[in-house]
Amino acid sequence: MHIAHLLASSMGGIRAAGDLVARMQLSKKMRITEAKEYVADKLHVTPLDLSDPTLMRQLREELDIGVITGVPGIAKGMAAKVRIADLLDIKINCVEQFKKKTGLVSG
Amino acid sequence: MKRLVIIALALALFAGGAFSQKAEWLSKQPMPVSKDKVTLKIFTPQLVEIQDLDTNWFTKWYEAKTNVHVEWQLAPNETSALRQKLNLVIAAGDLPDVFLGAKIDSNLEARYGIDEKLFLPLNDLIDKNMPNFKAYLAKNPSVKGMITAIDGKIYGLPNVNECYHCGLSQKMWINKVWLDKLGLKVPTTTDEFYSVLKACDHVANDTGLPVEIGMSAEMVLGFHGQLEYNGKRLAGMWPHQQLQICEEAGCAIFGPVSNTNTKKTVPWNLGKALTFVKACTEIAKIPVHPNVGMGVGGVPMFETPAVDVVTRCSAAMIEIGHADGL
Repeated sequence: MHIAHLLASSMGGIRAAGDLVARMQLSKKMRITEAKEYVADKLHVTPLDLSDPTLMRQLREELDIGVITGVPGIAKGMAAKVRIADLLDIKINCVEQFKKKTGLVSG
Repeated sequence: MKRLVIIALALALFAGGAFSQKAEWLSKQPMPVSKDKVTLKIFTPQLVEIQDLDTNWFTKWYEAKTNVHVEWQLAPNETSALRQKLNLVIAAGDLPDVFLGAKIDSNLEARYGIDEKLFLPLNDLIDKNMPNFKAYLAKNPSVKGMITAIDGKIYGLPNVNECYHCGLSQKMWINKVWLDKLGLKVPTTTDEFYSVLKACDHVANDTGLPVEIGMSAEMVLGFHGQLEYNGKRLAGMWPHQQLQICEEAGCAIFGPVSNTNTKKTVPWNLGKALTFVKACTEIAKIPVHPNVGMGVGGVPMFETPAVDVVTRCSAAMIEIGHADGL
């Protein structure tokens, strides 16, 4: 059923920019339109581009914020999240905890 | 007889130390209590923790210190058997000098002390020979009330034990990390505690951690109307009202629910679900993620719902319901 939802109404998640839009809804309580505009602005694209998996794949590789497939050398997991937090200018709790535990300075 | 009673009192004073929390002995009786060896007969229940009172280390030390030999008259520890032995001893006239820990309640005290005058009143003896206990009673008048019989006489000495962890078992703990974050000190009054709680409540809503509240039905039952939030009764609330309560509570995402009526068609159920969701998204200040799945959000109740139904409901929620997600 998740696949049906994904194909019918999703923004594609990490395949495109759905995860970034979702983060803005969660962390800043933004409605979807506002969240899309915010993310598009940060990525220097249009809101419609956010649902384009081809465009977003390229952009995600350039920004190194994680992609849908496991490509060696590309950021994944915590590394990707740290970059996403910086890119969107938000605080992600697990990133903050990670920085605290490792003694890294919070950016 | 009077001489024996005084010795018993001195023994009790020395042994217990229960009447003074510090080792400030104000006793007028020097040790030993008697120059000549005297015998004191003490009736007491046999405790399982003590192997033999006659050979017990404390008994020997006590006797050496005071020059008083104790003749123990032992009874069973179990209450009814102890009471039976006590009554027998008194009926037989074989009275000891002291009853120690014999569980003599106020009824027995009244019977043997007040009515039959078998117990010696201790008021004057306490006054003249027990300065520590006298001082304790002056500081704790409630204790004096507890040990005084209805005729105004004291027939027995109490075992005083201030159990702090008993009286203060219901402790309250406070997270000092929160206090430090707010620059507050540990509250010492109920007013200060209330202020701390209000401040912590504010911080709790401002930690940055998002909270998503998802419902389980379109109508809240609210525990038979008993549940309220900010003065509003939860029972009977529809999704657009539930949303407002959740916004007040500080949640980040609200998930309304419309349960599928299995006697109705998919269009009917989807229409109903969209009506609720649209009513939410029109007024929502936070994202609305309706529940769409097996038996909810217009989707029929199957473990493997038909994919065309799922996709129609899903797309409708976004395009018509203006949901911010699912």
